[in-house]
Amino acid sequence: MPTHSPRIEKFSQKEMVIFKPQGLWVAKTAREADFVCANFLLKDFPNHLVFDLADLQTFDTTGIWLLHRTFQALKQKGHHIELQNENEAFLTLSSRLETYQPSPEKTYRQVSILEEKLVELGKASVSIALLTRDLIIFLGQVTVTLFFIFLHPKRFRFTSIVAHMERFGVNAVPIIIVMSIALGLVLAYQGEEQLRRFGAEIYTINLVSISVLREVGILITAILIAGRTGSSITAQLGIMKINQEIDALNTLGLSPMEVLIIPRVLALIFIMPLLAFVSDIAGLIGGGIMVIFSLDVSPQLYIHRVGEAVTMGSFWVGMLKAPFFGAIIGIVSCFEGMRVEGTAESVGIGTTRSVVEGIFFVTLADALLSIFFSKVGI
Amino acid sequence: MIRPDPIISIHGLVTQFGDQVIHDNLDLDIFRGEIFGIVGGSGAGKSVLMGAILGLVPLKHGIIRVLGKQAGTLEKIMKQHLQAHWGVLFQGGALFSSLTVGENIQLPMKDMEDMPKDLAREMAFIKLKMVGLEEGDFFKYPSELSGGMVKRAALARALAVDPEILFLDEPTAGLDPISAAAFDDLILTLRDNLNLTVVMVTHDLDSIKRLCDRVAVLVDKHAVVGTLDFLLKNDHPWIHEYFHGIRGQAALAGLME
Repeated sequence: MPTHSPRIEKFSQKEMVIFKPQGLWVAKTAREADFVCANFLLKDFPNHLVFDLADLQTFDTTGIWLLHRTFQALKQKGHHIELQNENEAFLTLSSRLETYQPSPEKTYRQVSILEEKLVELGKASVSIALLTRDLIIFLGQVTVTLFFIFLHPKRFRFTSIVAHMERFGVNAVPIIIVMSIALGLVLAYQGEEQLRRFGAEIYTINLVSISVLREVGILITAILIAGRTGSSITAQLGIMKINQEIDALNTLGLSPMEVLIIPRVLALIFIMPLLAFVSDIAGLIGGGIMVIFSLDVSPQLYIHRVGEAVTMGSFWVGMLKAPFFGAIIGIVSCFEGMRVEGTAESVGIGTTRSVVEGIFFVTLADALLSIFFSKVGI
Repeated sequence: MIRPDPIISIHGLVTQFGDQVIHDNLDLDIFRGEIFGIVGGSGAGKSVLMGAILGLVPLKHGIIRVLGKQAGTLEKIMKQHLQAHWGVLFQGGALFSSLTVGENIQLPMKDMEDMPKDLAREMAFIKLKMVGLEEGDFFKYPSELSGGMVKRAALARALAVDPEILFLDEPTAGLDPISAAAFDDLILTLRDNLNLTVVMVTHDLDSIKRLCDRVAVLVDKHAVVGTLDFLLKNDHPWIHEYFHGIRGQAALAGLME
């Protein structure tokens, strides 16, 4: 046995039996020491026990606690404990530990699975209701502040809005172009496959141009911005909240709503139509590449056919949705950012929710707006 | 007094951020079992010095040995071995925000020392009470604690596996005077009985007076090291102002004569 592993050696001296704890009694050897103590307690002993601590040289609070606990357990069993050669340090520390005794474990009431599930369901329902209420309140605050800013144009933070537009919008242009071209290609390819069966493959152009302009362009832009910008807004506001930067703004007499949230929401509202336009053009180019190569149509003819297929109405349907989607993403991500509380984990949760809720509300709004536009007849 | 075998030795330390030199050729030895204070003006590089010792700040030049090993250049395994020997209390606490206080304290016990689960729980309770927190705080998250409580919970985590060296960054800042005194008591008991070495960055003159065996004052990118008595006689303007200013006089009144 290596000399440093903790152990309790037994020595017989005349009629007396003396126990000597030896080896290292420190956190590193706690597993062994715990085992030694547990085994020690299982044995049968005379009523009077003598422990000689002369060999106990290397120990820390963990080791002392283990010995202390063992002595305590022996005393409870009715043994009398006598300590010999205990050094100053051991005494001081163990008397300190005496006062720090951990309390007996809290016992938990057993609950049935049914009760547990019902409680969970109730909590989830209440939290969704509260979330909805808070989101509506937040929407109200944003609206009120917007009106306030329109009445006091001096409060309009032009520089901040432009900076956000660059960060949220201009920097997102490359990825939006690439994604939209790819989607245009895919749409054209799939459409052509199906329409060829009717000999109507030339209508691929109508399919691509109308779906890109009305739905696909703006939706892919909104999804990308919800993922790219929404998450970054939530994370940024969340960390600012944890850092008490939001509190600092409040105490300086600046409203976080005016300084942080409105510029972001407005920047998204302004930038979304521009990005949607970029996406539309890129989508048409992507579809065009496919059509030109597989249908043997000249670029001039493609452009001509697109012009015949789409009306200004189709274009404006897509464009009109853009600011709404921008507002949705901005408000949801700011809302989730302001809801972050304290922990790093809640920043993660908030960011996830911001993206999921952003895309959810955008899709919901898209469905509602589509119904609206079809009723109006565009 | 010549003591062999410094537990931490710093030789010719140069640290630099961009063009800004923080320490220039700084020498420092800290010995086993002493409580060593580090003081200095804001921006004098107290926390950076501590970071350099812990291997968190890259060194420009110089050698830092902790327990005879160079922390900055160690292999991963050796570094972990060394890290088991020190406990660190960061200025802001740096508790893991997604774990409860109890889990925070148990983390080094379970992951570094492979302590049995029940024992780790018990020890965590003991350490929690040791630093003066309540039982109920065990299940709280760091965001539910006050600033002083965060500090104490962080100290409990630093003490979790009874390190040989304890690094404290502004330990008593933000504590009420009674808690600060209790904190000083705890550090003294641990040092006296477990031969702990304590390195503390502090501005608390009461703590310095009560605890510190030696103090390093960081001025002009160097360290002036000595006992409190020695430093009181030093006539560098900043050091003089520090110990003989209004606050210094009030705290150190007994030592001045």
